[in-house]
Amino acid sequence: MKFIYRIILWLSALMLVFMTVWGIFFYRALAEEIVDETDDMLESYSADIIVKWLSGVEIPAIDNGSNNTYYIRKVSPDYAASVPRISYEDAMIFIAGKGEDEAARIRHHIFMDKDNSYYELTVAVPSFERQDLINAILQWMVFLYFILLVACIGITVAVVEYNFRPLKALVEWVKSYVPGKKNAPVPCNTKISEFRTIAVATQEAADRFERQYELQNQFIGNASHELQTPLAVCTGRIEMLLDSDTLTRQQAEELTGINRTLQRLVRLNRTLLLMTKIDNGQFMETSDTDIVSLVKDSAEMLDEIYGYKGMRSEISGDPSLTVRMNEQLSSILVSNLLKNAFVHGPSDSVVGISVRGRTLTVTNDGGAPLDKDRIFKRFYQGPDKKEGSSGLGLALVRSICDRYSFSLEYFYDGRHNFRVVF
Amino acid sequence: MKILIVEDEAALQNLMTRALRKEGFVVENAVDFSSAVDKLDVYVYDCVLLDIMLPGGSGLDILSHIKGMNRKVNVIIISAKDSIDDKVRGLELGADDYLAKPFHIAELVARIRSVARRSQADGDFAFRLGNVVLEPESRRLMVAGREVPLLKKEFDILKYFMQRPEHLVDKAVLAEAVWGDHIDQADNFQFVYAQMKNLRRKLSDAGADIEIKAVYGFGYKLTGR
Repeated sequence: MKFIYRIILWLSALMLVFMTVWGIFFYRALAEEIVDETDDMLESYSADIIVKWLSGVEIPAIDNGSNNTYYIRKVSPDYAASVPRISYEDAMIFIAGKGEDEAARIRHHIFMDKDNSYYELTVAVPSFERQDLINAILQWMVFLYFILLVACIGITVAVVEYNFRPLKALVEWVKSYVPGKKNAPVPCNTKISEFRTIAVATQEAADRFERQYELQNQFIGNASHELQTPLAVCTGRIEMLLDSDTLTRQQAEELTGINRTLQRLVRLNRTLLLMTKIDNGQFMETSDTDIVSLVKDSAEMLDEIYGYKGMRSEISGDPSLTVRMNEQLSSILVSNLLKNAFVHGPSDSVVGISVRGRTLTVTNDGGAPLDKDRIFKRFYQGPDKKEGSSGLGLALVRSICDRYSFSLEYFYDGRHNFRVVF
Repeated sequence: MKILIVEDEAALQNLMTRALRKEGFVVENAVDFSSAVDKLDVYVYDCVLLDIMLPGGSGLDILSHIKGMNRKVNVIIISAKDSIDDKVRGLELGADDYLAKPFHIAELVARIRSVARRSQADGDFAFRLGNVVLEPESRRLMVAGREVPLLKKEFDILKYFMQRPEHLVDKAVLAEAVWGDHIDQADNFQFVYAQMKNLRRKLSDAGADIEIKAVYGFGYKLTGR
């Protein structure tokens, strides 16, 4: 969810609550004020009638065109004692002038004349209908809510968008960041101290990360590099021993065993060095390479080597696929993909190789799908770990594909499929 | 033949010295830039084995120094860097060959012999053992003056052995040398046996006075018959 949507959502929700509470208070205050005014009017009206009644002056006619009504009835002293002297109520009454029921405010007033008999004066004046007022207020509140909301959101979005430009630039930078590549400096074109702090912290973190990345690359490179000479010495010494005439068969076998293990180490080391070089962007020179002819050479070689397992390859598809890349890397890419299929394919199976358009697909038999997230990682060995396998073959393929932005994917459809799109 | 080894790594220097002396070469050592230049100025060598990264300077500068002396000295660069750039620069500066560490001693000896042969017998790169002549350029094998047709792999195998006569060669090392990176996980050397069988039959049918013997079941050796 985008930050601005979240702000809009919260604004709408909180303003809804605020407007509801405000609406209730507003209605209460308004109603109270109207009632108050009406009561004052009723009071002076009834005072006027009582004074006239007591003084024997002619009291106004009931139907005087003002919609106000009153009547006076005689009540017993008991009744007079049992009710409050003055009381108000809201009720629907029939207004003779209008000929219909209307909401009205009613005032009851008990008074006594000079003969000590009690009378009750009831005065009524048409008032507002509460439901109408609530509806009217609600309607205007909803209207106000939307007007306010639109204004609020408009202003907020404008303010946020304008002031958060540095953050936006920072987010764009983070999105475009690629470790180990040449990255632009973190954008820090702002006077706002919080954003400056974030930008500076990000730059520092990125620098630190770059240094570590560099160091790690250098470390692998240097370590592999430094291993070359000791490995050469070991290999040389073993070969000299192997040439000695006094060697027994058993000693020779042991030495050969050591030498083979040592050669594995040499290859492992060479592959690590190669990967470091690819990741460091060496192998600059490129040429047009025909992938199909590389595939044919490799397949022929592997058919011969893995013939003892009854394995063979089948090449199908286009007669050529020209890719512009480093020649050495193209042959490493093809031979590693194919070798992987031969090494991990079961006996008497077929390795399928197809070239269609810009796509090279290599398939081999296998029981269960492999972990596609880890299969191209360094030193990852599948469930059927092969003796002597370095676990670097596919990682090397990944490095090369990354170097040239080729897409590389693995999927399982009853067979293992490795696909490169050049 | 007199060889100067310019190498700062004591263990490797010691090993190379021993191995080359055993092959009958006269060997001297230099461990850093200045001593190498001193020796080159005073003595005459047939071949210099040159490490690129040396205390006190770059091996490539020594190479320029040698070429500046206008003397006929073969130079083989031995480097741990194994980078195409270094290789290209070295060869451009006039080095005769380039060998990346770690290398097989037998490979080193073969390279020294090959470089020496090239500079002595102008243009004749052929390997000769007994009545067998192998011409790497034209990829031809002559036995007692008659040409024997060989398949590509058979030729590569024979060439590898002709460079290492009387040395025990592990079939795994042979396989890697001939089949390249494709074999590094192979656990079976059936393909080597098949090629080897044909090669040995072709050699004996042609009446060659060398043969490739199987040794202890894990390796081979090229010997005189």
